[in-house]
Amino acid sequence: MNLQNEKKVIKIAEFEKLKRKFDDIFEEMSKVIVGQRDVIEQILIAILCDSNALLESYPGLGKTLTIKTLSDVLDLNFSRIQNTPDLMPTDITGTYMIEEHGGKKSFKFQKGPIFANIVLADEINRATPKTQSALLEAMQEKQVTIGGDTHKLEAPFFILATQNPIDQEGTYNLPEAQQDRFLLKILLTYPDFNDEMSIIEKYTKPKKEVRLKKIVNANSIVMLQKFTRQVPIAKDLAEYAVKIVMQTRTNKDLIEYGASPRASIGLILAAKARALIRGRAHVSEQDVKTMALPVLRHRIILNFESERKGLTTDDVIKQLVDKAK
Amino acid sequence: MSEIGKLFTELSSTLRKILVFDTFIESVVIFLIAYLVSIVLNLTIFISIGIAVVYFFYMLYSRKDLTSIKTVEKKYPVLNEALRTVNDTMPEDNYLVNELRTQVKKKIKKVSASSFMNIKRDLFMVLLAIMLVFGIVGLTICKGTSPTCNKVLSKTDVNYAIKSVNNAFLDLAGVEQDEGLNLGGDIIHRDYNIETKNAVLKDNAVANLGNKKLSLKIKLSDDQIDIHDVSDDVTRKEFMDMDITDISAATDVNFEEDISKEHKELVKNYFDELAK
Repeated sequence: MNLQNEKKVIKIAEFEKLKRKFDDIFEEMSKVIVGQRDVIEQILIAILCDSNALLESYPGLGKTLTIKTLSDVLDLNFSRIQNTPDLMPTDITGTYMIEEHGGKKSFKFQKGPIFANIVLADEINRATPKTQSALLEAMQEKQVTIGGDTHKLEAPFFILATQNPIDQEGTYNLPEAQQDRFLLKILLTYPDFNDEMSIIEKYTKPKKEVRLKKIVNANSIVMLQKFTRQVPIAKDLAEYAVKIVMQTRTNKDLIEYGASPRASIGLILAAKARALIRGRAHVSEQDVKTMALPVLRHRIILNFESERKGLTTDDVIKQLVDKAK
Repeated sequence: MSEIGKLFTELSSTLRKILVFDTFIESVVIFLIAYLVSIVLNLTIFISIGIAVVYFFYMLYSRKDLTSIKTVEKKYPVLNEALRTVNDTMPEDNYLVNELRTQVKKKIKKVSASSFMNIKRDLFMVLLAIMLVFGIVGLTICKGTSPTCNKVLSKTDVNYAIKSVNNAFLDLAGVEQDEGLNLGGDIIHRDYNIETKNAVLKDNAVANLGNKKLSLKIKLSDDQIDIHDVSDDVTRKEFMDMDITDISAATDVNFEEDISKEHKELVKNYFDELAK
């Protein structure tokens, strides 16, 4: 988007309107998805940060429905890759096919499912490391190279990879270094009683067609991604975020491996995106505290002592968040 | 400087002024209290001034954080984090930073300087200062005109306190009073600058009970014995038989002094020495 267009969008996008856009997104999502506001917010945060997210949940909690609905509301192309051990990298990226035109044979690039704005890489840990690498490379570079040709992926590009915490047999767990490439690790938990009653109410009655409004589009999201980086943060809050990340490296009594500087960048960016979604033109301390959990939970490895004490990664991060203040 | 920059300068200048004002009032009260004490203890005024000045600068230094933006944010939660974000991102210029500045400018209009002043506390301090001034004036008048007041105040004199402490120690140690009192006498001699060559048994403390030279006379019932005139044995015997509590001294210029028990003993010994 050129500068002139940018200025035009800025003029239109008064801050109040911007805030209303996010409220509308949540409202539209609630037509299909019951509860899960935090999960939707975290997915939106990952999109606004122009990054990717890893979603871990038990089966049947509506991962696919959530991301599909979100892509509808955001008016983005959606594709789904069901990872299996026999999935090949070219099944994701696409490949050259021989095409015949008037007796002449030529290669034509057949785009794979990675060529979409939002890609749901379901059960990423079921794919082989080779396929995982292809996916992660696309995720990182925002482009794929096949047969010496580089194909840019359309912006905005977002991968939501899912993992199942149970049934680990025959899976290839993502190495920690690969997990670090995901901005957030989102945990999707079981709904509470009232939410589950609402789910039953909604999905056990004769089906009604739900018409979802498209609140934004690809261009607006690219614009919002630029706005996210512009959200100002006070110096002491930036220092607080860095201190939290550094605590993961110094607390050897609880953590074996800490988070990288990528985590600091991610934490501040995620806090900025959360502020924007919540209609604030600045980052708050609560933004940093809240985002520390999804940003750090897949970037640290607890030591035996923490496990012996029965501490979870989230427990340890909460301790660090308080300690860094 | 940008408009928002001027706003921050004005804000911190107002906070500084309020801090200086509050600390000044407190320092005045501290000075008055110290001055009142110094009048009672006969100390110099410079000690009170010194205490007040040290207090003023120390408090200014220790409270320097109160002039920071966080003070405003604490007072006005609606500006929490926003104000310091604007302050920290002064050189930046983009849509969101400008939006935040506009929001802060709107909200900061509700900030009033008086909200940072603790009116009740300041009023209390002023009233306290007025009361202390009255106390000081009253004490000064009392000291200058009433002998009773003067007498009471002289008990609180630092030198008196030093002497009492000194005597108490000597009593405890069982040291001869003559020697011990010489020590106290030296101090008094320096303070009052009195002739000491004719001191009783060369003991300045006895001679310098007041700030005038004494001409001691021993009162016994209705008789008066001038210690300068005692030479005959009869008078000496009479004197030796009398109880030390019956001995008092009077100056020939109507200067009266309460003589403590140990000094009476000294006078008695003096007489004894003369009679030998």
